[in-house]
Amino acid sequence: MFRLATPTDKHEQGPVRNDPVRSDPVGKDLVEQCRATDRPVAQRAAQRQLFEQYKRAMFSTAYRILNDYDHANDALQDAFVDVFRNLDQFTFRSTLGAWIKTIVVRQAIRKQHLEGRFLTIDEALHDQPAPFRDSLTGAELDAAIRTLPDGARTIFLLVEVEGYAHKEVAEMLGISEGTSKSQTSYAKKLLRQRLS
Amino acid sequence: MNDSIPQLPEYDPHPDLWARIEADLQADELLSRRLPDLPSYEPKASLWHAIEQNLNTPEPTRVRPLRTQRTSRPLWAGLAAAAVVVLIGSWLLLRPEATDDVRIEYAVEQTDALPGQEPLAPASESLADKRAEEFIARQCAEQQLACQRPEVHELRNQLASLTAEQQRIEREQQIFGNDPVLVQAQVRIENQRAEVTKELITLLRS
Repeated sequence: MFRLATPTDKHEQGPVRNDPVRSDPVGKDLVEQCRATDRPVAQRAAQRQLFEQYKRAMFSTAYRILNDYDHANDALQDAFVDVFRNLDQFTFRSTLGAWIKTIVVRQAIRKQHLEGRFLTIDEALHDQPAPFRDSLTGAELDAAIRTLPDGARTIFLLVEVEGYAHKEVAEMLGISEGTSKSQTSYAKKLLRQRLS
Repeated sequence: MNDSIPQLPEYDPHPDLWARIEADLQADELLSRRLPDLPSYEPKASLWHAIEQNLNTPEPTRVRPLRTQRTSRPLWAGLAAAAVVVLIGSWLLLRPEATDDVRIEYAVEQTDALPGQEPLAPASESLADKRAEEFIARQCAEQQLACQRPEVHELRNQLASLTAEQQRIEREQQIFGNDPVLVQAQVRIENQRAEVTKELITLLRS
């Protein structure tokens, strides 16, 4: 069964705007309908509604972590099946979106097989990279993120985009907090090098 | 050494260091501003149908390990086992002492051979035993003086008592069957008989 990380305050005030995870538009009623096994037709309709509500935000997360369209779809499928099968365990202590996102992230990590893929930091990067261009767009940043090594990309996304603490990331990936911090820093330097 | 530590020299950092720090801070700020602009992506249109199919299939049943099964045995089984333990414990503690009125004895009844009937040869008596007995009897008939020697006499008495003991065991085996204690005793007696016979024959031949 899942051991769900509690989203940190940083996550609640995360950097991603207009995120359905933050605004959490899904009320208790829809969650209860998703749990109603005695009314299978209504239950399935509610599950579909919940999926439609979150699919874009969750898929974007899985896609950025996995950097592969088909694998991201597989991860999202497995994640939502887990969500609906384990919805009884959701106790509203966090937002539903944060709960689902943790399941999606864990599924993506599981599919990524990151063991031993955290690269040692390139000595050449000790040189000061040039600053970002002011004209940098979100699409350019997205393209640059996708060129990062798997390990550094995953940690950068979990920390900087999804708002997880280094401690949570370390627990999810089975690494030390120090590795999480150094890989985040490494990813930032690589991005600056590639976007300057 | 404690006096010299405060006198350690100070060093200036690289003149560009603040510029580097400032660039790092600016990069972080710009990154924070741009991250919310990351595009979002749409999954496959058919994904919901795949999820629905998955939900329609029952969850695979997991085979529980034996240890789990053992711990999850029903409550009544545990209570029954506890009751049995309590009953046996109580009986052991409170059982009545045996009195003179109630006494259980075991006895083996022996019957003498009927008059006129030859005693049955022991079943265990082998051909080698017979030959040995015949040899001893013949030697004693031919060399009476030799058979009068105390050591021969002693060995013949031992052999006779061992033979009697062997016959007793065989009778008990007919009653009690192949009791392990009787079988062990029989083996022991046969070995002793063999040793005494061998010693006796050697003595008569010398």
